[in-house]
Amino acid sequence: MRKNKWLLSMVTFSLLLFSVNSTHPTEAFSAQQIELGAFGDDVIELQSRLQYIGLYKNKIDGEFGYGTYWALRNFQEKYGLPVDGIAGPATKNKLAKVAEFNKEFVHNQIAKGNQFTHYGGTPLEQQVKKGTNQGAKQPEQTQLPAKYSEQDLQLMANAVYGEARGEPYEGQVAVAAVILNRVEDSKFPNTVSGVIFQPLAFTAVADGQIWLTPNQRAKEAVLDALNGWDPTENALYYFNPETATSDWIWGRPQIKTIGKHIFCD
Amino acid sequence: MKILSGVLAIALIVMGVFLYNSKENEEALQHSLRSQYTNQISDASEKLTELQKSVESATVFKDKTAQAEPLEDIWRLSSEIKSNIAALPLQQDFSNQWMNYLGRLGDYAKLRSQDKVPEDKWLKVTNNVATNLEDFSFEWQNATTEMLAKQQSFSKWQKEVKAGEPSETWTGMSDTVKGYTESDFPLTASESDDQKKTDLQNIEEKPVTEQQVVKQMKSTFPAFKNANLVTTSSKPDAPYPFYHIQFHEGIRIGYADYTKKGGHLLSMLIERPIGDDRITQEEMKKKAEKAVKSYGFNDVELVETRENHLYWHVVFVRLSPGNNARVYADAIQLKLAKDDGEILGVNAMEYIQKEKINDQKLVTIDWKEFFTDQVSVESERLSYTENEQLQQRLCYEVMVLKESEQGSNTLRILVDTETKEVLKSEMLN
Repeated sequence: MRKNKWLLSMVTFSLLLFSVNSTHPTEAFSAQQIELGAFGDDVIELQSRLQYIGLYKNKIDGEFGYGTYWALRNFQEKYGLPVDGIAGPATKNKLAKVAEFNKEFVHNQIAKGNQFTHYGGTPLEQQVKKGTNQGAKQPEQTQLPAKYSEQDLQLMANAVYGEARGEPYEGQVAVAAVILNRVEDSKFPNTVSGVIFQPLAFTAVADGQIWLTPNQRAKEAVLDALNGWDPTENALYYFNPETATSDWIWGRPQIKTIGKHIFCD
Repeated sequence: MKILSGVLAIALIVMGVFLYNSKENEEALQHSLRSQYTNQISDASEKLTELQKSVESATVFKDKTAQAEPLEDIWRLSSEIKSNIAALPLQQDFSNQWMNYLGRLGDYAKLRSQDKVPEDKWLKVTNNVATNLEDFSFEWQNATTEMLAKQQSFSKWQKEVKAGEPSETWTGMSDTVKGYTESDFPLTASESDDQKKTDLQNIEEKPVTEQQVVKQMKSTFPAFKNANLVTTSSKPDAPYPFYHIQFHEGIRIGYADYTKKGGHLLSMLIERPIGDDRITQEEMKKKAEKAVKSYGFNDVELVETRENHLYWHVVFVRLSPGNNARVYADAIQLKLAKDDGEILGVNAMEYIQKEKINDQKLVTIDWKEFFTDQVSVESERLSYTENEQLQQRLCYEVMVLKESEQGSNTLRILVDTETKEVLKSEMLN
């Protein structure tokens, strides 16, 4: 009987210990340290917990930008932690202790494309904004250099897929780079959409192939070009020598060949 | 037999109706497009006349306030005509030259409105522009009136534009505008500096051989020492000569470009599948920093990291010796795999030719006087950015935070240390 009592108390203690741990640090966040530039579920949790205690007021979107950075620094200052804007183990443990995170609610709202907040002290159902565009499919979030938008990425991915889906990866990055080189050049329209939809500029626009759904590879190629890669070495034009008949395009100074395209100045 | 004939007859009728509808739809679309193009041409013509008037007006007034309106009109109208031209299926070379000229005219008017162009120079250039625009306007009216008067079919219009040998009218106009650009807005030394990428042809180093470059590539990226390589040279007309190495090893396929003069790495990019493992941001940064040093880029600082689904993109910029200011124009980008931090891309094109930096005064700025009470200055450092004349200027790089009940916004503002002019203001995510 005494042995059973001891066993029972051990089991109870273990369960208690498990329950205490499971509500705090071990359940919160992954092991990785996160900072400016990070992206993903850990950042969603960080933003949600910071918002729960009123320190983060921007959109919960999983992108560790400056809004998250300043909120985290304020949190570190408030709780006597080293102020570095980096969510390391000590910061994450403290945050998990003082702020709650309703993972199911937050991820559901993000998946549904709703506008919402996650403040403590207000019922969560009252924090979903009623609006006309609620539930609209959200574009895939991507972290881009400041001068480009998600729309630029999407349009360029459509153009690259329509123009060069059969080309090697380098050739796809090259087509995206030509679009960007034109945006920067004074001889062309100065927006991505202006360049892509300039009449007769791209075959894919003329024959409608631009409206095909781009694959992930085309998006990655565009992302590399937006981040600065230019395998064309500053080309403004390209053409397929097997099909091009215009004397004008053949007369352009040629730079290099990638796949089936000749890139020129 | 009767049934079969009946079915065939019905099928023919259905097909006929379908073809008729398709044809009607196509014609409706063609009419709609042609109307839009005609509208754009007419709009451009009207604005060209207005632009001529504004250019003339801008040479009449000496008074700054009186001159402000025509200057703004020049800037606005040149931008609007540029949009008209961009939306028209005209001969490519003509569109390019005309948009270039309009862009330069608009920029010049803007510079004048900011007092960055002396009056005598402004008058000289604008008098030329006024004469040129008058001549050009005549040519443009003739060409477009002929185009519209022909009442030609849309397909014929398209055919003419796509023709292997463009019409003499448009080729002539293209040459005319090119001449105007060269005479009215020649490239300044600073603008030429801006073309640092194409200026790689000016590298004054000894040419390297194909074998030397391949050896260098294998030494910089030892993972590819046994890769299958194909090396080609840039085409003879390329603005600067380079070697293009395409390589393939196992699951990796990629390319690396090296300048022929000096054998500098321009860019490298690898494609390979990415596994499910994930390294931490801290590990990734260490790998990136170790990699840039191993490539010999020792004077750079990591300034930005961007995580996406499969890769990290990382930006380094050169630090100017002496004041340790960041030179954003001399940047290096790295791409790392998220599964193990392997370097999958290097882009050093902008870093190869270092920016020319001149000495510059530092005037103290009181940020409390400079900004409103709604914002707080969170950090300040020195960095270089280019001004509108495309010269590199030393700036105070200030991170400004504006907080409200709805959220916070962070702005990165670059203020010229000598003139206090705001050269860049960027809203950060």
